[in-house]
Order: sequence, then C-alpha cells, then structure tokens
Amino acid sequence: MSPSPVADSPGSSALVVRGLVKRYDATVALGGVDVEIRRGAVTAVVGANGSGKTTLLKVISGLVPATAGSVHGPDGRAVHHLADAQRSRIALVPQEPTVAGHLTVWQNVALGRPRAARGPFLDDRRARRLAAEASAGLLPPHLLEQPAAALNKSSRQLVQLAAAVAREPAVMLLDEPTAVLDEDGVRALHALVRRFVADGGTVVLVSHRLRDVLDLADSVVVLRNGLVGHAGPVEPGTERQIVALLSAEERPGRRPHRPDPTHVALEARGLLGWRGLQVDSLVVHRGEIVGIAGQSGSGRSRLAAVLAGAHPASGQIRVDGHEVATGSIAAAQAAGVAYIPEDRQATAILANQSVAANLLVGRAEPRLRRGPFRRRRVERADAEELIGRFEVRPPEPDRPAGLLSGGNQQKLVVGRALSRSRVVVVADEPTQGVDASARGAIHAALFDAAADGAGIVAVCSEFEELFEISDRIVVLCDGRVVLDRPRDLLTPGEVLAASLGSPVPAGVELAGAAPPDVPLSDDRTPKGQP
Amino acid sequence: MTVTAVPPAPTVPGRTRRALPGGQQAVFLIVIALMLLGALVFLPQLRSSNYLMVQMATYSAVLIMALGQTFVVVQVGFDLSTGAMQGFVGGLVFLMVGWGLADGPVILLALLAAGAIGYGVHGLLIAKAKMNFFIVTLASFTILPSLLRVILDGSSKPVFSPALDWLANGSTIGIRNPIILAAVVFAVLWVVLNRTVFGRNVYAVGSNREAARLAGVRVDRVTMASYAICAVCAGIAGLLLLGSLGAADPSAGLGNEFFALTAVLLGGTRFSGGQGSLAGTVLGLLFLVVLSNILLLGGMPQFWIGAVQGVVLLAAVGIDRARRDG
Repeated sequence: MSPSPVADSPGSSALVVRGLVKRYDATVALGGVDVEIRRGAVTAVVGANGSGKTTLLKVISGLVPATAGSVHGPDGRAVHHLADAQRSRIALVPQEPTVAGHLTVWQNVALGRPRAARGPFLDDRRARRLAAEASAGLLPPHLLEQPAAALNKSSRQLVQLAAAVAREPAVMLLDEPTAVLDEDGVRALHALVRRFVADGGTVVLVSHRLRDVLDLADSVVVLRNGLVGHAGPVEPGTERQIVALLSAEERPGRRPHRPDPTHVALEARGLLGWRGLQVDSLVVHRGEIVGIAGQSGSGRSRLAAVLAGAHPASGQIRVDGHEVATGSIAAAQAAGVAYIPEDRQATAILANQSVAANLLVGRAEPRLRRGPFRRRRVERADAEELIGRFEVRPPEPDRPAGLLSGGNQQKLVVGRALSRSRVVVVADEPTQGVDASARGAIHAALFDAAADGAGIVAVCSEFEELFEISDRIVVLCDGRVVLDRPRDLLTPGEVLAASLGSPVPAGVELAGAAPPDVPLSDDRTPKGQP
Repeated sequence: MTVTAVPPAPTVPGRTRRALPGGQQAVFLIVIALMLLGALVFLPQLRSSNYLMVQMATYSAVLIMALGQTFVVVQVGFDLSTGAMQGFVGGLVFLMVGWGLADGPVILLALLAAGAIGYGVHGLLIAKAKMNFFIVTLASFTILPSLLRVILDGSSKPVFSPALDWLANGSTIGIRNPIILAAVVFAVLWVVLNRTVFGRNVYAVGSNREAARLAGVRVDRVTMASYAICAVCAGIAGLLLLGSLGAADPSAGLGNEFFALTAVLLGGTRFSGGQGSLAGTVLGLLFLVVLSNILLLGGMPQFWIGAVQGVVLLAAVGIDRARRDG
C-alpha cells in the first residue's frame, strides 16, 4: 500500500487511517494502526477478542476520540468527532442492537432523518416511505408498524441496519453484524452488503466468522494486539492464512465425555410456558450435550429460560430425579442447574462492577462465605482461578467488567455459571459474539462439565456449532419439539427443514449414509408431528 | 495454551482496588482539609473546639440518614420519605411515652416500626408490586407528616425521655454522643456493605438487576432490605432530633431528605446505581457543612446557602461526568 494522497478521486481509498493510537487509561487498545479502506469494496477486519477491532470502528466513526493519529473520510476530510463522521457519511452499526423499544420500527428507521420531517414538523407519511425503502429486503413490511421492543434480537439488528441504510451512507461500518442474526437475517445482510457495494458504497465488516470474510470481503485486515498483523486482498488460500494467524490461540485436546443413558440429569414433562411454549417431553442424560435448534422465535430461548427457572411455566421439571419448582431460579440453582443467559449486555453482565464481582455474584457455595460475611481470601483465589481457567484478558480481577471486550465478558458469564457445582448446565448461545479462541475455551469448559457428569442443554443458532458440540439435537418450531434425534443420525439440511416446519422422515439409520440435504419443500405440512 | 498472541497483562503500578472512587475520595478529602485549614486561619470563631463539636453533633442525624439513603441509591432508587420518617418516629415516641412504656422498648419499637414501613411498605410495593420508587416514597412523604399531625393534634408536644436526652445531648469521654452514634452506625453499615454477601448484592442489583436475578441473587429481598435499612436510619435520626428538641414537632425533619441526598450524590454515589460508598457520603456531608459554615461565618446571608449548595452539587456531578467522558 503506497501512502496515497488523500484526495476525493474515485478508485482511491474511502478511509485512510494513519498512525492511529487509542489508549483507555493504561490499556493500549490500538497501538499505531495504518490502514486504507478501498472505495466500493468490502473490507473485513478480523482478530481475536481484545485485538482492537471494535475500538478501530469506534474511532473511525468518531464515537471515541483517538489518542494519536488521524482518520480521513471518503470526502478526504479528517474525522475527529461524531459530527465529522456524519458529515462524511460514515455510519456505524454496533454489535449490540440499540433501538428505541417504545417506538415502532418505521420510527426507529426514520429517526433523525431530515427527509422524514418537514421543517420542524414530523411528516409520518414520508417517514414511513423512507423506512419502507430503507428496510426493503431486510424486514418484512408488516413488521414496520410493530414496536421495536416486540421484535427478537435478530430483527432488532436488522432494524438497526435499515436505520443505517436510511442515512444514505458512503461508508458502512458493521461490527459483528452476524453475531445476533439468524440464518435468514444473515442472508438478508449478505444481499444488502452486495447491493450496497454494487452501488458504489464501501463496507467495513468486523467479524469473527470466517464465512463472512470469504463470502463477502474483497480484502481483509487482521488485527493482533492493536496492530495490523496482515492486510491484503482475499484470494484462494487466504482462509488458511487467517486461520493460522487466529488459531495460534486455539487449544487442542478436550476431555472425552460419554452420555450415560441410565442416569437422567434433567427431565421435563408437559411444560407450558409463555408465548406458546409447549414441550411435552425433554430428557437430558448425565454426560450428554443436547443442542437446541430452531429459528429465532421458535421458543428455544424460552425453553432455556424455563428450564433455568428464570420464567414461570407450568409442568414438571426433575433434576437428578428430584422435582424442582418451576419459575424459581433459587429452586433450580439449589437443585444444581447453572444458567448462561442469552444477550449478555442486558441479562448477564454487571458492567460497572469488577471482574471478580461478576464471577462471584449470586453464588451460594458455603466455602465462599461465613454466615452473612464474605470470605474474601477464598473469593479472591476463586476469581483468580476462574480468570486463569477461562483466559480472561486482561487478567485483572478489579477491572470493571464493562471495559472488557465482548468475548471476555462472555467468558465471565460462562465462568460464573460453570463454577457452580452443577448437575445441569443450561447455556443459551454460549459463544455469541466471541472469537475462535474464546469459543474454543468455552466449548472446552462445556465438554469438561459433561465429562464430569453434567447434562448440558445448549441453544445454538449456528449449525456449525450445533453439530460440533451436540450429542443429540432437539429442534423446536412454534414452541414445540419437532425433532429429537442423535446428532450422528442428522444432517444440517434435516435440522433446517424441521425448524421451518417441514416433515423429516423418521428412522434414518446410519450417520455415514446420511441423505443429501433436504431441500426446502414448498408443500409444508401441518406442524406438530413427532 | 502456550505461546499466544495475548499480550501480558498491562500492569498498572499503584492501581487501587476500587480505582475510581478511591482516587476521587482522596482528592475530595484534600479539598475539605484545605477548606477547613483556611477557615481555621481566617475565621477565629471556628477555632473554638466546642463550635466544631456542636456542628458535628448537629449534623450527625442527617449523616445517619444519608448513610441509609446510600444503600437505596446504590441499588437504584431513592427514598423521598426519610425526612418525613424522621419526624414521624418522634410522634411514635410521643405516643409510646404517653402509654407509660420504658425508654428501651420505646426506642426498639419505634425503630422496628420504621424498619417495618421500609421493608413491608416501601420495599414490598417497589420490589414485588413493581411500583415506581418515586411514587411509593412520595406517598409516604405526604402520608407520614399527615399522620404525625394527627398524633400530635397539630402542635408541638414536649416529650421527656432520659435515654433520648442522653443520646442527643450527652457526652462520653468528651465526645458528644450523636457523633459516637453516627460513627457506630457508619461502622456497622460499612461492614454490611463491604464485607457481606448482601452488600455485594446491593451493588449487583444496582448495576444490572436482571443479570443479578438470573445469576441467582434474590433481587426483591435486596431491594426490600435496602429500604428497611434506609428507614431505620431515618428512624435513628428521628430519635436524635426528638432528643435534641425535647419535643415531638409536626414539621420535624421535613427537607432533611434532600440535604441528605445532596450529600450522598456529592460523595460519588450515582443515581444510575451500582456505584458509591459510605465514606463518600460522609465526605459529601462534611463538605457541605464546612462550606456552609465558612460562608455563614464569612458573612454570607443565610438565605443564599441553599443556592450555593445546589450549584456545588451541579458542579461536582458535572465534573464527574466530564472526567468519565473524557
């Protein structure tokens, strides 16, 4: 890359980043980054958790000021603040959906757009039209009138994308856009990115899913420890290169676990939960990992929440043979259920509390306390042990958890849950938004728990992960179990078909002789078959 | 995992355990010390040790109230009725003394009643019935003074209780008893907030209620207990006030809730929850008291004190915000 003059000539760079340094207190997030982002192309930024990907996007979009160095936008002017970025038409879509829940989808999309107003007055008709245009291909039109809070996380992320499109950006910065999207959402995102680039737009994509990099990106930037480790076009062989760079951190060797069909860890019968959850029977054996699949809205997270006692439901739940009162987290925990909730920002992380407090909160092991008092030395040793085991970076027990990267926050959530003595682990998207290395550590911890004899229920929206970790796969559709079969007797196509409500032929015998992927049939039969 | 790209932990020399409030409190303490030093040099009245002692004893009640309020604010909320509770407890004592009860049971029952209102009314309605804390305590803010007026039939009534007289006006080894009482309350609450599981749960609930719930914290109980602590502290403040006035007064305590809250917020406890400390609350109140004494003794008309305190609050919180954003 030659240091090109920063000029507004077509074909040159849309973004020019020079010597960018960003420090948070004493932590160096970016240590001098030089990058040029090609105009009219998709550039992927990949790297481990804490390598500075998100910080780079935040500085480029003017959300946080740089400590040193410069950023120049597509119009060749320097970007210092949010206002500069808006003037240069740089739009950031953050990783966690942040939409105004009380407003409708169209209001969210059109929020703050001059086109949606006439002078000082709102013009709802134009706002609706703008929202419909911006969300074409992303959201079905009937969703536009819904309040954003009624949407699931995947759809909220699509609302956020539509809002970015409505800004008519020259450069779109997408931070882990696929982390919360379901399979449909990912397809819609890919189509949007291709369309946007074909029209001359520039996209910067931060992702840890290599699939996105290979499918979409024209060039790739690899960040390591706040520095550019590699930058270049995507060519055949690039994947291997990146995997080699990233998986230096991947760990080999997992403890083998074996499901014990004679011991039932968790048994649920006749569960009736909110929004139509109706699970007649679910059994998890000791040492078994059961993957729960389904489209978003199929009830997979609701089932997890009910099993963990986080939401009321009627029916019977037995843990290790003992009946547990439903709808009580305390009862579930006392029986040995550990819960890793979905959506860590909202439901799992105490952002302004220390890493240690996040690892310790809510745990009732007698060894951690003496009467009402905390045994602080034991607590400290416990927190440090968990930090080491889950490789939390930076390994500082007193750092506020909110300053950690998303993947490291997830390690805290998993570490807290798995540190309990447990019979059952209920994990709802345990590796959401984390990179290959953290994902390996989290999977290893789940395998470890299974090897110790726990029954694991893991909600996975990603098929790759589902098939990687599950011994058995349970598919939900409209709140009911539509498929429950050992992994080796299933193909991803069958799981997809079942999750969409298509019938799956029963009694496939051999894993090796798995049938070809079942195409999405048009003749969807009524749901509810076994 | 052996050799990796993960950098060695950035070790920060001298990083204190709770980095932010610790540093802030040190700065705050220095500011207060300098103010006090300057005042001692320029204002001769202050040099009489008796003057300082009287001031500290006078504000002990508000300090105790502010310490209790800190629990409620850290877990996200605000008890608007602490001043009203302070007066109301005086009415209860008047009633019970009238029935001929001994001082011990009177004090115990009065505090029990305050705690029951905090736990069973404020806490229950806010945590279980999910009512807004502002509305619930606003109701108490109007109900308790009204009940007090009913009890006292609208006028100030003398109450003589030797124990309360000793508590509010006596001295032990040369230190006024209210100061000792405030120190004891501080010590007990400090242990509760910093050394017990409940204390950490108060911070956890304030930081992210849903996350704390899913992690297994019984969040409703934490909220209810926090309001109980706050109400009991307001009750203790009420006992002190009654003792020093020697009478139950229908307008006793009103307005103190905001003075106490100002001290809490000046001390670095945030309305958004999950952050704050009792030491900060002490410093916040100390600052307010020292400042207003300097201004009064320096010749500023008393009517201006409230305005100065309000501006100081805005400035302190504004500086805090700017530091966090920058």
